Amino acid sequence: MYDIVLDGALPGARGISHAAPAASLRNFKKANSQPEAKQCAKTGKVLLYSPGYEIDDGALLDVSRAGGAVVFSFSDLLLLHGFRRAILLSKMRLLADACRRVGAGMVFCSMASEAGNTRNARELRSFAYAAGLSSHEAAASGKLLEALVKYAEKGAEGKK
Amino acid sequence: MKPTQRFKQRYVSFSLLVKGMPLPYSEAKDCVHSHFLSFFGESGISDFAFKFVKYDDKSGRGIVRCERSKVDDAIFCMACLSEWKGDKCRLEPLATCGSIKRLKA
Repeated sequence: MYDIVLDGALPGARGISHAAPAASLRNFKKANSQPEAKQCAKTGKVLLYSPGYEIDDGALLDVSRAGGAVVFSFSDLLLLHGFRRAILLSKMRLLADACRRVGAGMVFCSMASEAGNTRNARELRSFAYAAGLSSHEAAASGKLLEALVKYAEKGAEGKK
Repeated sequence: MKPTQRFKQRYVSFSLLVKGMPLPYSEAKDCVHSHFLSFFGESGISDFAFKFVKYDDKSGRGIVRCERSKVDDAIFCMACLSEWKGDKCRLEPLATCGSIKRLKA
């Protein structure tokens, strides 16, 4: 299984065959607002990360058409506690439901910036279940992440 | 009680490290219990068949029991623990099994 991390020097946890740094992925886009998300969504095979987890259906449809995926980060959950974490988890569930409705891909990763925040493959799968995915969808999301990371890294090698 | 009405249980082994060091038994039990309780609440824990089965304070490895259909919730709950009494903490699930004997092997 693949993972996306923020710090390139971090080793992969148990069951993680490759931890790709987000900065090295050309299709990784961070959108802090909805208009920004809408712009980024049109990029081919985009990995769209919105820390607010509020992306409208139009942008999700664009992500779906572009063959991309919405990124769910485990580190965002670790930053919060109590009610705030519960609210974020419920936002993630709503976004996952919206993604399923329009057929947009979803990927679950740790986005760790330090070694203590990396999570193993089993934990990332249970994160996907907690966001409301079935076992088949969770498996498919793992494969999709692998394909999108390979696509980004292959493109980067080609440019070199 | 009929056998079919009982909880079907699973055992999850874990490694608990605070600042890279294992905790003593009583503190580890308190840490796991309070984290599960704050995560699921009293009502959630009641249908969880939760039990802190064993813990080795030298290696920091232990086993918890939970209901079969709640294994993913238990693993997600463990993964969400990042801090204990102000220190960095890691509760990492290692393996899941239907019996303690097979988990030990």
